[in-house]
Amino acid sequence: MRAVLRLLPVIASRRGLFVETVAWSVVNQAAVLTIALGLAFAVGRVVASEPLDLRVTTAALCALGVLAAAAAWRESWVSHDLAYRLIGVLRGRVFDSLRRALPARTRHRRTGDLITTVVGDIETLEWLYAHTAAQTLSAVLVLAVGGMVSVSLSPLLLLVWVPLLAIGVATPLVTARRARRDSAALAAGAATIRSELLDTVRGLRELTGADALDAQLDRITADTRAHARTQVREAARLGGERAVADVALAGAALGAIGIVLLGRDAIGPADIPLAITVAVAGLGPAAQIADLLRNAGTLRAAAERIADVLAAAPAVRPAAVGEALAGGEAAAVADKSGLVLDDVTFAYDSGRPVLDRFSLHVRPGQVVALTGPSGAGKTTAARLALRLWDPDQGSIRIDGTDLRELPDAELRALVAVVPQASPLLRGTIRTNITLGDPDATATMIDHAARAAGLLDPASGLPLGLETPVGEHGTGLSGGQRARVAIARALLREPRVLVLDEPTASLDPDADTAVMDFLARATDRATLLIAHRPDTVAAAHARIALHTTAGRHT
Amino acid sequence: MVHRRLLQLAGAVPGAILALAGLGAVLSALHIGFAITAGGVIATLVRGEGDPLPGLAALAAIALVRGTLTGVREPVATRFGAGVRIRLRRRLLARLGAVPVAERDSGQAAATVIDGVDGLDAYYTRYLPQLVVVLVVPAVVVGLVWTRSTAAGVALAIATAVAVLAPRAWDLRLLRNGRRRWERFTRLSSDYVEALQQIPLLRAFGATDRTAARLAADADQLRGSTMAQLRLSLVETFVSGMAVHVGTILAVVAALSAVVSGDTRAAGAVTVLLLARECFRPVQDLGTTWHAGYLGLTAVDGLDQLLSRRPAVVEDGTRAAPATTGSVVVDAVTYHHPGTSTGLHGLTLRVEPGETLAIIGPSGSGKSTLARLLEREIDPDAGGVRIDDVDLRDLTRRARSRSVVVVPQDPTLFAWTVRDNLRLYRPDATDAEIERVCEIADVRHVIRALPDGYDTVLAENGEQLSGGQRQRLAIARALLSPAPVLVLDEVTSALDPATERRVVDALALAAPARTTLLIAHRESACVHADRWIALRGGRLAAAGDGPPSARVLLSGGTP
Repeated sequence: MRAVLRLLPVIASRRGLFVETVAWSVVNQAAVLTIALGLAFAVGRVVASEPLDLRVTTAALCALGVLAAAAAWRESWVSHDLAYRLIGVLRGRVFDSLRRALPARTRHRRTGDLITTVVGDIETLEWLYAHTAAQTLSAVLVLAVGGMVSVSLSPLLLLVWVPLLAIGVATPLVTARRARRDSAALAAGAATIRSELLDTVRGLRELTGADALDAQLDRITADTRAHARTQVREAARLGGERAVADVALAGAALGAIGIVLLGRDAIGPADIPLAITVAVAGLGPAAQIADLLRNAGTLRAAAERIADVLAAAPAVRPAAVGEALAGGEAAAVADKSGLVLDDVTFAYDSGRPVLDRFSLHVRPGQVVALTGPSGAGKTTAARLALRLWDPDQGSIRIDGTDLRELPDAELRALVAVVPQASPLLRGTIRTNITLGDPDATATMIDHAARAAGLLDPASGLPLGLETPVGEHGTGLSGGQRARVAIARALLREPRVLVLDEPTASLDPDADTAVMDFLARATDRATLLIAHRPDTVAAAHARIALHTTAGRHT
Repeated sequence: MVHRRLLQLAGAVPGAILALAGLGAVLSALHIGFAITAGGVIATLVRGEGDPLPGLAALAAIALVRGTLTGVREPVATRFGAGVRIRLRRRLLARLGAVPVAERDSGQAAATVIDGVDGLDAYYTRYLPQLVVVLVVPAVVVGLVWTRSTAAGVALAIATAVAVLAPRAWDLRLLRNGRRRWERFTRLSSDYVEALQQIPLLRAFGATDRTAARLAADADQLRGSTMAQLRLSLVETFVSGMAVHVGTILAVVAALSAVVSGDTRAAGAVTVLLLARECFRPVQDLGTTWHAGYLGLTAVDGLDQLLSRRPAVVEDGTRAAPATTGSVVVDAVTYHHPGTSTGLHGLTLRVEPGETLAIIGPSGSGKSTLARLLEREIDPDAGGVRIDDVDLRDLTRRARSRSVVVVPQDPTLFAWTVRDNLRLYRPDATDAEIERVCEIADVRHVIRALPDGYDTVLAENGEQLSGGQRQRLAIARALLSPAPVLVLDEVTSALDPATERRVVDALALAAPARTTLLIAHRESACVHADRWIALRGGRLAAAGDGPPSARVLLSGGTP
């Protein structure tokens, strides 16, 4: 639980809400327990024909009933508020950390998996802090009270209580270990079925055309059945836990009756309903504790991952502002040398440098093509030019200023990129184009869009710039996406432009648009990364990278 | 949370719902039996008269049976759940063809079939059975209490009515507002995931600060509006909580008064104490399955999309013999894409067996519509499409799949092995046949470079392959089909010129007897065409012999 505690400072800002949740939860559970015990007490008195003021009892219990309901209401209100705020805080902190740390300086770790895991982890922790921790704390309290009432009635009741409590709490601990073994199979099965269903929706045309839809449905059915076998095993385990809890509660009642029978003198007749009720109702909250214990492993893992993410090292250090103001601005005006990679060495976290003393110079007005097989370091060089990472040795300069000396805002005004596969964000074409400059005027946006060929009547965009791009830009064709990405880069009017495989997904028309644009760039240094020879044809110079650690020709 | 659509679909899985509701009712009966028996035993003990042992033995027996059934309920519900998912998915996927292609790609259909059906599983195996239990069990308990003390029965009846109905009023509000809020919540979550995924892009454009601020503002706004709504809706928690507590107290006190005044036996009061809890147990259990009910509700829109439409084609052809020679006749075909002005207007066309026809024209001229009509993804509004003089509508699906095969511009590959992908149109193709078509499509070396060659399992839609490699695999796949008519819809658009040339030449040599319709906008794709036609606005604009010249392609066939 150390990791769970390590995260406490993150949620410390919401301490007040957390304490309030615990308080209302305690009031609610204590009131509910008291009502149960009070009713049992009253029944015992009346049935044993002992005197009892029914009016006072009723009034007191009804008051408790209203209090319990009010406390439950307040608790659910506060815990909802806490949950929403915690998700906000955790998401904010994780984004803040990852935006400095990503892209990860590793070649092989799948960032997509990391993100899916982290997003799930945030929800797990929200569940812990907002909906579980408080309830468990108050369950422990109520359990203690129940124990004390039992002892005060007869210490013999502990003979029933302690073993049943131990069974109730231990069962999930035992089964959790076995559950973990099945969880990988469950996740894999779900992923398989999911991808088969996606395939079916996407490939319906082919499946129907090949008369293979029924076969595909049979395949999905068979896989669902196979997956269900693991699910049923998991459910049987859960059902077993519930059965044990259910029998334990019944056992508590029977055990209490047994104690009454064996030690007739220990418990007076009027206290018998109370003794039985306290045995059952007092054990109820144990279920809450068992629930937390069952998920302890998951919770710990989630907390550890989030704590690690929050502690991740930034990919680049922010520029020292004073330095830049002294030298940077003056140099930018005087020097027009374009983009320089000077003796750059860069290695991913494991092993040999992917770029080894690599140098490159792109003058304004020039297009330099960087070619080579995948893995040779082309995209690495592009990311260094954008200062997504810093080189291990050597320096990268734009118009004479080392990128490390430029404040981020200044650097981003100098360099723009058309990334591989043209990723877009949900929104419209317009919001995507203005990603780097939300204050751009309509004229500027129009200009950039026109240059990228987005305003042609033939571009197939009925709503023009207001066309929604869909999730991950999937509402647009590959060619349309590429044009949006080009317009987005053009809007910045950058001194240095990095084009990473710009024509891989382009239709021939857009290809021409890119080339036109390249030809018109008189004041701009362009680094073109490509593998197709016809794309590179327009370049003024060509540098080929080989896989042997950034050697070039 | 009962919705017309959800009940309508429940007809597909009535067995599961009734069986699980029955199991829930039996469990409730055991709880009630336990309460009544325990009441008797406790009264015996308190009064000190009579023998409690038979009652104790009965309690132990009930507890064991109840424990067993409690343990069995979860796996049984899960097993039924798998059946529900299978039946619903088969039913919904069969309706998928009715959704227009453009909407099918938007992801809503996929979301319905995947997450929506998972939600429906929970709805039909957890929520609805429990709802049935809630409708039956509390009424029975109230009746049992009534026989012991009328006043207690009345108190419990009123309390139960409030506890059952108050949350339903909240459900009604939820039907109106909750779906939108849920949408906003999931949208915010997906925006967050997208921002994390695109951090390199955001950094490159200096947009991380703005994005963080926007996400925080959106989250805060959603929290504000949610809490404002909850301010009212959570009152339900208070009302139903109070009904449970005060109702139980008043019922027990009423029974006790009856004992004091001598109207009721002592055992009756103890039993009322224990039974009152059983009255509310199903209601509280319904609360824990509430999320399952909610999930069902979120699927309603997607279900509407799938179930409310008329299927685009009705498969009722009976002719089982596929075409053999491959003559194609498009006879005065008119088709309007719903909601647009595009389509075909009285197009007539004849292609002889073995002929290669190039079809050119600008975007929206009807080329791809023609391809969709030829594979009967859609049916013409007027006119007919015939292969070997048989209308496509008269063929069975199997016969049609052996008569004509279409390779779309953006083909789908499946997350199967490469070999299984290639065998789509001919499951019994031999390795030698597979090798041959891969040679023609110039894709053999691509497959060899994959980690397990033909046994490599592709990622979803073959995402580890480039667009050109996917196109070539799709061509190879289609070449294995026995169909005499082959329709290629811009299938070489993502290939570099040299590869395209190799593939086009090999195609022409490999299947000289096959009727080929080539939809193209590049000269290089149709160098081997015997004839060409140009479409414009869904009509035949021009035609000519031989491959279309560069000038023809540039002008779209109009002089």
